[in-house]
Amino acid sequence: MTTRLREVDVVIVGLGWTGGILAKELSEAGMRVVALERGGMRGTNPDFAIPQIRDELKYAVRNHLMQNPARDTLTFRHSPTEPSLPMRQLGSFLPGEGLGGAGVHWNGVTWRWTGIDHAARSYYEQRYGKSFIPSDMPIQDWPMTYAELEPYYDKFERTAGVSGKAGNIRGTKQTGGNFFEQPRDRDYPLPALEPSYSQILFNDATAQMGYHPFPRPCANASRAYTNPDGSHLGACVYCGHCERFGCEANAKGSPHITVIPKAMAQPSFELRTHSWVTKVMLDSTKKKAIGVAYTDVSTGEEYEQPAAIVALCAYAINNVHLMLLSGIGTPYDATTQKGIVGKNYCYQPGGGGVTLFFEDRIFNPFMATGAFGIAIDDFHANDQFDRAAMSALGGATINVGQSNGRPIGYRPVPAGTPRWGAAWKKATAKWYLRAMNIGVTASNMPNRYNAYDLDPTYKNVFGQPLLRLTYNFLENDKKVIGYVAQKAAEIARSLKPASMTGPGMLGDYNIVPYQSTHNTGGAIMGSSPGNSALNKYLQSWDVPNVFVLGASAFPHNSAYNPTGPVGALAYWTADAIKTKFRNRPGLMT
Amino acid sequence: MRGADVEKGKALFEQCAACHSVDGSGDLDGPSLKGVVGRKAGSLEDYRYSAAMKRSDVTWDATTLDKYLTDPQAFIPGNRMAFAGIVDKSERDDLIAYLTVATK
Amino acid sequence: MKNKNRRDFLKTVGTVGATGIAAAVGGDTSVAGQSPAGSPAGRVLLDPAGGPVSHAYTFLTAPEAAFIEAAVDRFIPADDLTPGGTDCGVAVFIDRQLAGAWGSGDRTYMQGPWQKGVPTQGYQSPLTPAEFFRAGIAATNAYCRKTLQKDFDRLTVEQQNKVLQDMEQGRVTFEGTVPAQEFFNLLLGTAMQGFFADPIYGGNRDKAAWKMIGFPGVIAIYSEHIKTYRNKKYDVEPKSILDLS
Repeated sequence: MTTRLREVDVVIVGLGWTGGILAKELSEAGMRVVALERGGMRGTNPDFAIPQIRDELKYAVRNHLMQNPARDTLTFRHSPTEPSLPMRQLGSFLPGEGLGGAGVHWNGVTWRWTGIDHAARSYYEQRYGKSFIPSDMPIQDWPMTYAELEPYYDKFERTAGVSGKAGNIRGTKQTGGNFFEQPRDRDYPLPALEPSYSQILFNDATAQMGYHPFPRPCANASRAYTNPDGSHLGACVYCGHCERFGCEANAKGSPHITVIPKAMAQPSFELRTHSWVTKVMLDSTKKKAIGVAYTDVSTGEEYEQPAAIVALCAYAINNVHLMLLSGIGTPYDATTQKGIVGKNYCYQPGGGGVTLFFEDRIFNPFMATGAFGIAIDDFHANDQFDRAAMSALGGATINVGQSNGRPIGYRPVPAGTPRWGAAWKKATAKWYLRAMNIGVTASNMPNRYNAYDLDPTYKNVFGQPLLRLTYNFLENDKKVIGYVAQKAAEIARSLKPASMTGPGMLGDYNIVPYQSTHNTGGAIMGSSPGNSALNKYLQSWDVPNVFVLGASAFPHNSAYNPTGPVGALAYWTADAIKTKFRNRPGLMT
Repeated sequence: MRGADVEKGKALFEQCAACHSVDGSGDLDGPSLKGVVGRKAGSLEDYRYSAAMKRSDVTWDATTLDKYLTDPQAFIPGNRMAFAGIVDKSERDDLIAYLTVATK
Repeated sequence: MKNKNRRDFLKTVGTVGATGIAAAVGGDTSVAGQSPAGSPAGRVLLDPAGGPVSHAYTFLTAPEAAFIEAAVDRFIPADDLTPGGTDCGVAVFIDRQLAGAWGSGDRTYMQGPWQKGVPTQGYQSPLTPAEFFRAGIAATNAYCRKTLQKDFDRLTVEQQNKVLQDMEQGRVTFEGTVPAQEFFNLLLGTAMQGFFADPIYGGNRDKAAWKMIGFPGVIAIYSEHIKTYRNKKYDVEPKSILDLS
């Protein structure tokens, strides 16, 4: 039996960064908001307290803060001609579950995407001609400019306590910041963190080669900070347990210590945990959502929550899944290239990195933060970088982070070392402290076959079809990695290591080893219903009282991590709902 | 030598504010500091402390607070506070002066 | 140190911690001197701190335990750096993992239908990890009996290394459901988890693996050290969750 509940103004599906921002902004504006979170309640104390939070096996290997694939997962194949099989265990990416979502266990890298990202098609057409873009690469411009989003980036950076150094304040270049940065209104709220030894070496080497190194912006607080909402963040202690862990020092910008408590303080806000939304309910016209259906997974009871606005904030993958399960928009068919929902899935190619081994240098890899690092953008945000030389679109950042030295996962040894036995032990003991990595993070352009749809065979615990992911790395990705990896190798050689491994070649996508939780696309935004599922306010063209937040809206993936624009767009959408939609519900223009 | 500056100490307390209140307000991650001066470490009934803190046999006063705030892990090894300490002696003096007044 | 046997090593290394293992397993009260070295299951050794430490197993049968002990001692041979894998608790770790939630298929999508798939699609076996291990051990022993007339744990060290290398390189094919290379990778991966995880799980006894590489463990407050330990070794006695609990 299904219990029908009293109607509210807004129902939010998933309470991570985007849901938390909406929950706070809309409940503070007096709207009645209910958030449905499929996972449990959690907080810094006791859930992320020392010493238990330092349990690498539990959190980093067994993924205890993440989605449980036994309940729901997706199936995966490289191309439409292959059988798609379930991702039975998490690996390549780690969607969150529980209060705060992946915003609890992220590393904290917080970029603003660039003008090239906003003008993904027009930039290449103008500079290189239409024929430079392969016919099977459906890239498109964002429906808003960087300048329009700038105040919202600023707002997110201040909420999350981002540490960094501006490179361009209102058109004036700033020494020490990113030379290629788009103009920003003011500097980051916090100064950059103290660099590691490896980062100093990289900084000096790249500067000497004429590149433009700068500290990577990150939501690891370089000192104690009180954000504009009055939320307190502690100072980062460089513990090396960011990604896959919650922060015991409240030093990582996370929704559970910022926006969510502010929403919870509002009488018009209600949180329901263990509430798994199975469907957005539409009326008979299929053009209006009337609420959501959900199951309390702690009792098995089923509910309907009517609402005037439905906001899908359930992580990029799950948003697309819910749209397809609910019949919102037309599903994309890669064969006919008709339809929209599921289109332009993108990810984050890596594999161009280099590990450097030094006889006489000590890096202490365990003194680390999730996101601090030195980066160069000369092969990415630099619009003068000649893509014709690599005959590919996009680019890659070259970075030295130092995110952790946790020993189950981090044990660098030179190429040719056995994986076990006496020689392996000797090499592991020798090189653990004496290795550093230079990473290459590449953009990912869409391809007509890289897409989601519903799987015809496999089901989740609710008996619903799993999402099916068809995806592989393609020619463009291999060229970008191949080109930029050689630049990374040149930088590495200039440091004169005793030996180095890599760079590797980008092969087929493998869903087993962790790469990044940067799954983008599937419910993309654009200028018209013909090219997108969502308009510029992340509002469904087909069902205008449904908003779909998160990286599912990105028509391609940048070399930059997604959380910066994810947060900025959440504030942007919240603003549009408060100032436009609330007064005049319907499709906004 | 200058005297301790309560106002400066109040500003320095921002380093603590993510987890502690001086007046018992809020439901924060660390124990309330209300009445901390003169209190036995690990003794608030409604807070679950680490075994290290409970075993510490420390009573908080200007001297012990100074030692703890210099390097919390050195003074009470294995305690759960995720804080590196304050290197600058005059900053510690300011903070302790503030705590002494504000937590009464 | 190289030629010393395990018990001598354990008696001579005096450190703190690890007594929790004995308390957690308990049961067997025999002492080290009465137990032949290398006997597979239910053996008790002296803890570095002086108390008895059980190598009792809950999931593994005696022949399976013998297999796992031999394998982890090949992966992590005793040398100047650490005791062997078994004496570091790695076999006990694997046993507890197989007996626990992970071994039973926790956080794993277990619904059919099942197809073999390609390696880039990941784990596709209908077996839980514990069942997979059990079948893998049986298949390895069957292979060893067929080619070398003995179970894996009865082979010489050289023979054991050769079998493991052949499995790793994909040079052997097992009869039955478990692919040799896939089993090898799971076995090696789980052993490495045991060697390097916090000692609360039974492996990495006496934080031997952390000491070997210089990982300081779990307090990890480095706000000052990030500046003061650039290109400088941070030498401390590592701390584990076990130490702080």
